[in-house]
Amino acid sequence: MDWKKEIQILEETLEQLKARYADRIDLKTLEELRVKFLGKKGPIKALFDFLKIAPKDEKRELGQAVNRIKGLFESWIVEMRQSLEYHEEEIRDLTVPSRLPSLGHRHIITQTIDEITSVFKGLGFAIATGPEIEQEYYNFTALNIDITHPSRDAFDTFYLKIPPDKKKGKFLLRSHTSPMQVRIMEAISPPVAAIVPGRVYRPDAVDASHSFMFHQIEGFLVDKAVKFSHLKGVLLEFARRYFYEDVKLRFRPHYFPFTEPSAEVDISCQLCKGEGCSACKQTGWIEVLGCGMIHPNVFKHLPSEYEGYTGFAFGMGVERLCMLKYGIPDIRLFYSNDLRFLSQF
Amino acid sequence: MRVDIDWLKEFVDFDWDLVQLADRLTMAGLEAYYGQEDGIGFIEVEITSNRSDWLSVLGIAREIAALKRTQISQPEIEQIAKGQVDYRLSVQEDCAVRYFGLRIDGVKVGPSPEWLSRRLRAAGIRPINNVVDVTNYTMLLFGQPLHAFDFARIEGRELLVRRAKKGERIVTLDGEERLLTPSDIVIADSNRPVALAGIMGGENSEVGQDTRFILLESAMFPRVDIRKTRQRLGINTEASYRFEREIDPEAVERACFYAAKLISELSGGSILGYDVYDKYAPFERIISFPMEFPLEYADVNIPLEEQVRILTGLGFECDVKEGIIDVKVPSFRQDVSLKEDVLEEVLRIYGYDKIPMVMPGIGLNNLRGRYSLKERLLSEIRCKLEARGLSEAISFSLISEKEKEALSLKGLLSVENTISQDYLFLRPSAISGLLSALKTNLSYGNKYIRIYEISQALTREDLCVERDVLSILVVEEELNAAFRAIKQIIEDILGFTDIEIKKAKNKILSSFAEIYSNNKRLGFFGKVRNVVLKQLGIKTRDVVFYLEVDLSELLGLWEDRKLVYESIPLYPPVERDISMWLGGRTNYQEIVDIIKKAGGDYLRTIELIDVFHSPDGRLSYAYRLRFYHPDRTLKEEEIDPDFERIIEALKDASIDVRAV
Ligand SMILES: [Zn+2]
Repeated sequence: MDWKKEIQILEETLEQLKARYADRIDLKTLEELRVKFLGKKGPIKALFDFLKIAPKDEKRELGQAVNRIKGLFESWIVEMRQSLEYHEEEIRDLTVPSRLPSLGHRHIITQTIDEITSVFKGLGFAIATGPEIEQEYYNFTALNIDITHPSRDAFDTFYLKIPPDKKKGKFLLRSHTSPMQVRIMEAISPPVAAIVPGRVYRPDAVDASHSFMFHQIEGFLVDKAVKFSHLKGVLLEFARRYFYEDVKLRFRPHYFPFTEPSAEVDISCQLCKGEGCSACKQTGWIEVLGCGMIHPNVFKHLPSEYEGYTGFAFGMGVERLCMLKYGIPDIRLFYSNDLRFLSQF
Repeated sequence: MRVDIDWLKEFVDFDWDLVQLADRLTMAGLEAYYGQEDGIGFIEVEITSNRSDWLSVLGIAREIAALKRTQISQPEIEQIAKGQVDYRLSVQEDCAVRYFGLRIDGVKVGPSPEWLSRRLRAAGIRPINNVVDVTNYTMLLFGQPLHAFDFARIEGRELLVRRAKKGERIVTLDGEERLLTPSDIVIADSNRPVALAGIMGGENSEVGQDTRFILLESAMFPRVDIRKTRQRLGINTEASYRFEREIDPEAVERACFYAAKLISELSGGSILGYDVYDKYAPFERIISFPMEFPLEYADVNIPLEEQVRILTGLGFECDVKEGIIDVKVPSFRQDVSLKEDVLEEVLRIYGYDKIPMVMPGIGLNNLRGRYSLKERLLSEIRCKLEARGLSEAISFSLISEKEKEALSLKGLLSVENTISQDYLFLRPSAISGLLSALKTNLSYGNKYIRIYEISQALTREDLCVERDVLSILVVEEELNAAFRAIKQIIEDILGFTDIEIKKAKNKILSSFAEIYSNNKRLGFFGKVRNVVLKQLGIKTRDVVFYLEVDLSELLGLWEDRKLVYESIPLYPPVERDISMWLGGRTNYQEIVDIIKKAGGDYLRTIELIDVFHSPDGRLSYAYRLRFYHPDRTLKEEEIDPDFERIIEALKDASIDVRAV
């Protein structure tokens, strides 16, 4: 018997089997192959039989070769059997769309409010909300907005068609979230740090950049010895966390009746790093909020326990920040509730 | 306001280029832009509402002076003797604070010299003639609006500052006829109004080419009246813009003399003298400003001399004693009344950028409790709704008459001043907004419409009270699917409390029911009737379900809820299934109640496992009951008595048990 030839044929056969059944084999075929090659009537058994009668000088070499080829067949069978146990049906098309309904989307205004308020929560502020129907006293008087101030005109405030309150004046839709400064401090002892998001109303005709209803976020902190430098510190920390890490702030003196000193705050434009681009109208800066130290006349309207306290306040328009951040060109998109808009965020 | 650089340089010395100048002014609070015209640089400023003194060349110059730590040089003004005038001036109570009427005779009206016309043009004012131009030029310089009358056209040699008579009319210089009301202030001669005070002159007394005799007006009118008239008539002029803010009462006289002198210089007239009405009490205000205040209130240490230089440059007189600066406020800065106001002046000129940024140590914040609870409840509700595929809408809180009628909303609040008929009434909930969102989405062919909105109830009962309402709109192809979707949402958000759903009648919603918990009404739901959809112009064949929940009631329940651990059965249950035909009015819950009552100690859960509609129209429910023993594994036969009892109880209630 030319056992060398036999072994070589077996080796070649195994390679062919491996190639042929690389992807897949069924259990029955595998068993048939096992019997065919490793069974009592198989070629390997025949080689072992021949080993017994082989010439002495070939025995050692033949023995090793036969055992090796037997081992190769056995391990292939084991390997294939294992792969059969783990075999399952696989998804054919991974690009198929997911199942409906998909998740709903929170309005981008709410998401922005959540994001901003959570930054301030992290700084120790508490979140509060307040009534949208307000009174002249809270919306104006207590905030040092003089009776002759233009913002008290019907051109700038929605007054309600009901008789006024004897003490607190006419009812109106609040024109800013600042009345909550007074409402909160009437109810809560100092120190207090609050962040107040909400809807506000001003009788502007609706167009691409105006709406009679929009959202503001008001914040204030009142404690012993609160300084202008603290206002700057808190707003820088906010800007770093909300806008971007190495943002720069610019405080421009401004006028608000309820703060003194007052400022408008610009952030350095992230797109052009202050070089000037279309996003920042070539100035390198983008206005984001108004702020200041709470006016002493506001404190005059607060309970006497607030004597000796100072504080700062700030306010920002949510729609404006959203439009800046996401490149939304028209304020009306926020209130259209078109799902093609809502589901982008 | 726009002003030539060379004009500013007449009063203050500075070496900044236009870019620097605009930047320095902006950073001091006077928003400034720059440009060039005819090779001469100008800056344009946007003032804040408290700083009308900036509406003048001198005001802007003072700002620059303070930034340069210097002072402005004042324009030269020659005193004019009162003399004898040939007319009678009278002013009605409250129609003016000061009124100077100065007479010039023999003017020769012609074009103004180029230097003057150019400065007017730069400020956006069209040159007219050497009389009118001087009044405008002087206004730009001092911020004091002036007016020149053709004295020959003043009838009766009389000038009266008074309230307009009802029905009185005047044709203003722009050629418009204006109908006046008694709240307007006019300047009148013995017959008719000749000017609308503080706003615009009348055509009937306009200075023209042939004018020889001039009456020059320099006055201070009550600003609120000027604003009201201006708003009512819809006119906005350089004069009204200044008057309705605040003018410098002490500039009234100076501007008058300055202009008179310039008119006579340019047009050759001679000044006769003036008559004056004067109710102005000289303004006096001194504020004690501790020099340590900038350090205490803003963490900046500004040397005393520098603080004084800044304030002096701005026109405040300073008197320093023992660390206190007594700051005398000038008449053109009456907006400054507290030491905090003075501080702002010092800080803004010194530079806000030099104030350090410091994180405060926030003391114990006393604002906690209910607010944070509400925030958690809302956030949880939002997450659950979004997980069910609902997107959040935000819609306008004001609605139209049509929406109000279609939704049968009664007793709504409305706004006095509407901007549009679409936004008249305050809404109690967002149903109108969600329906309008539905309409929008249908029109764009958007599929799978499920939306919610959280809004405040803006009703008579909720004046100045915050009551939040959750509105939900779900669209499905079929009634039962829509109901089950809504029910799932109800269980999601109200599942923490025991609720009861009671059928009721409603004009807007069919399949209407109210949701109660402990006899408190938490909300309601139902299918929006087709007739309502039709009235609102919504075209759909689908079923539109609406659910409303009073979040403030819910918050109360959520606040009181008690989460206490309940032990989990350790041993396997014995299960029994039972199915029955539902007769008459019986429903799922009634059967559960009967089973529970009869079930005994081991019965722990009752589950609906099958609903079967027979071909003859009967309905069958199958329930699976699970029995547990707390301490050991139950044997099948141990629950036989319990199960028997349940079947008996069902039979007693005339329920047709099909199979067990
Ligand atoms: Zn930029």
